Amino acid sequence: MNEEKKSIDADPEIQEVADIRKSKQKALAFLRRGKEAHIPTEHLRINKDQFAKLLDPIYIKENQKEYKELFGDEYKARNTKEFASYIYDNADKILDLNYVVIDGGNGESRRRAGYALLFRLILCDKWGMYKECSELSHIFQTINILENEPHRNVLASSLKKFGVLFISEFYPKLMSSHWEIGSFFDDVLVARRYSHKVTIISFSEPMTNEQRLTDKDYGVTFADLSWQLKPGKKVLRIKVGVDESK
Amino acid sequence: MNPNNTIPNEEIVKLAEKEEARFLSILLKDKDCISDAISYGINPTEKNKPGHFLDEKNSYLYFLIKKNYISYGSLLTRSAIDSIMDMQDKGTDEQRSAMKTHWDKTYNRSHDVDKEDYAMLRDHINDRFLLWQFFSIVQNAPEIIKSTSNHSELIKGFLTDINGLKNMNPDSYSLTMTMEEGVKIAMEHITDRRENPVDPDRIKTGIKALDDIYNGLEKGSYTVVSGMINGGKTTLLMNIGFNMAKAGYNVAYVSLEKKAELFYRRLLSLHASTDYNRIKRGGKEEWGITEHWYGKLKEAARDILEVIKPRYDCLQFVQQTKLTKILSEVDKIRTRKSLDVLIVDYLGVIGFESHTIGRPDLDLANIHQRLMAYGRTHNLVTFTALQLKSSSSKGIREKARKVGTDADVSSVEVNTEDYSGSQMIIADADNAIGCVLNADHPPTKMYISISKARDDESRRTITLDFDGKIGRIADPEYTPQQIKTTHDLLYDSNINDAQLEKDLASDNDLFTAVSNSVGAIVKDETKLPILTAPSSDITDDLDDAEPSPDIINDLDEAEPELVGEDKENIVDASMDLGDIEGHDDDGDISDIFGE
Repeated sequence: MNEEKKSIDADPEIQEVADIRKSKQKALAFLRRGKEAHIPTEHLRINKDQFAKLLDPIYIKENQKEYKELFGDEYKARNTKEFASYIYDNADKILDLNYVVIDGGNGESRRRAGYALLFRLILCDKWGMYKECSELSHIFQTINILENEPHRNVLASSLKKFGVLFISEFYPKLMSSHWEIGSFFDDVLVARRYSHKVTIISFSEPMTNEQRLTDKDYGVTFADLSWQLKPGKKVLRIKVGVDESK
Repeated sequence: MNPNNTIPNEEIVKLAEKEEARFLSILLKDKDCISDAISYGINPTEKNKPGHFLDEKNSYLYFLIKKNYISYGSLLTRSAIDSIMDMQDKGTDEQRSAMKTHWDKTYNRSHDVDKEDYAMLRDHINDRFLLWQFFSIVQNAPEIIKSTSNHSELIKGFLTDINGLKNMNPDSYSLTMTMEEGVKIAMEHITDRRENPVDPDRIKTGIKALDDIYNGLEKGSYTVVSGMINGGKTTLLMNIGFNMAKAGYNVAYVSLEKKAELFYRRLLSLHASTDYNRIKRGGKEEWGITEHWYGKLKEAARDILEVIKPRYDCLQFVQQTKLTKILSEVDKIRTRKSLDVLIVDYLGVIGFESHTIGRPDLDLANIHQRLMAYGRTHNLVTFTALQLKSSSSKGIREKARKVGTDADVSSVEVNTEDYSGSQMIIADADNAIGCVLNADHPPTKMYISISKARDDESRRTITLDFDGKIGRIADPEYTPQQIKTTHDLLYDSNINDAQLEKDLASDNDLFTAVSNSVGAIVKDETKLPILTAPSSDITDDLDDAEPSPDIINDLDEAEPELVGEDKENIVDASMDLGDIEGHDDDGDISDIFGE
């Protein structure tokens, strides 16, 4: 039938308006996804400069080689600012990883780093979720259904499905093999790894060889992640300091 | 036929007298036969248009039967004659009395009336009509012989009249094809396709992701689009219809929920990329129809009327209108111009013309089969819509909520068992598409699940971009510049979160943004209109509106009485549908287009 007629659809102004409209539509959707992911409002839009201030500069400097192995030759960051820029500008590479592990600093700075990454990955058109490790442990250790909480099986099932999951403040004392907490975490984390969904985990205690977890009470995954100090295959390790922006 | 110009054949005249009376006697007692006669093209004599009946009284009685059926879906009773003739403002008391007497005589005829003879009588009446037309044309033949010049024109005119005999092929679809003919025609088609990759018998939807799967929809094909309540079905159909009309095809959109005026307002809004809320709010203020947006809308109107000139007619009917009436109006369009695409929105609210006790799903299937037959007979690309079963909707919505990655999109599957109504509908349809909006507020994507296609390998789920404010569904596109703009908007630390959310939901700054390349966010809170949150009057409408009851979505489980009651509710709710925002089960506002 007729060829495509030249009409206002071809008007450059309309095209640009359509582009900006789409950008705003996406931005609004992402903002709301961030809120639905339970990222606190005050930590919702941490930009790369703010993220850079959270990072431990010494760790970044000492692990240049390992980061290069992880990200490839185009990784050239030499300081926190360049590192933050690289992460923010190449967030799709984070999606290819299995885990992002955060330790160091204090609880607030670790959480903030996690929120920043979670939100940045939501901007890659993903759905995300933030959960405190203690909250999850409490539900996983309970056989019955708690008031206003899903059953642990249902919760585990739902956590496997988010494009990005941030579990904050893991510490060993939360875990008990008697209550199968480690098994539930393993179930979630392994399933996510197999379906190529990245999980961000922050450790409340610094990861050192001396403090590596060996007891399988903690689940195999946490134990494995806890002791490899250097950035490893498909695991991005980040050390934070105390939040300098405060 | 014209009684002043009857066929000079006494036998035929006598046969006509007997058979017309028998035919009408059946029609006075059987609705299915009335429906068939109308679809077949049997017509009374009206003004200057000849009809099928030789006898004037028979012709007028048929006129009353047809009129009554189209208007009320019922058989013509003796007492109804007065009402119908009143409506027509016709007939003296004597004439009415005579017509009632004729009704009595026809109705009480029983000795030679059997419903089994209906088809034969219908065909005979049609044959005589053809003969009468032929006779009328052939009567002029001696003039051609007598003429001394211009013979070729006269003969051409004669042949044109012969070819234009009305109701020559009332059932042009049925045929028997031999193996030889069939293979020959198939090879001709294959050779033609080889030489001409663009298949003139297929019409593309204008959405590349869909066209890549279907390669355009074949003329005569029947596609069912399903979705949840306020799930974007109407928006999808409207977009597809507009794309096809812009490509030059004649499209008729039958709307049983929204007024035609509203349909065109939304179409303009779509074409002008204008937030429809501006039109709803009105005024010239910043949140209404500002100078800029008014200009864009005018430009869009001019573009449609003067440049593109898409042929996109909208037929408006109230819910529960019978299909016979709908198709008779569509027929009127077809007599004025050829029609390529017919969209009926939507199947579930068309009035039943059959009444199978305890099985409203079969009554719905009957409507679907007639619609499908109409589309096939007239070589139209036909679309209709159905809701998903309420039992399936929740599960599908949950799956859409949980799409975390691209790989998860395939989990948003709408299977043929999820469609409401009889499974016959999906079994007969050529194509079935399920549409599901994603869980963003407002939705940004529509997942299209190909539930049925000719090629089983085509069964998959695709993602399209969805913008509910302007009512656009299009191929997904997110360019690097758009990504950058999105990030710049979100990471602008000069704006607090509450302000940012308001700004992002507003399109106030769009034209300023064009000149500044990145959105120039209006920073003055007092000036900023709130366009996302609905105004209280719209929310009140939502509170008062009766949502479509679940029972309608599960016709195979519905009790007929309950369906009847609930249908009334739907008719009431439809009065406000033009002003009501769509909302999901949680009461959130999703998009303005809803279905």
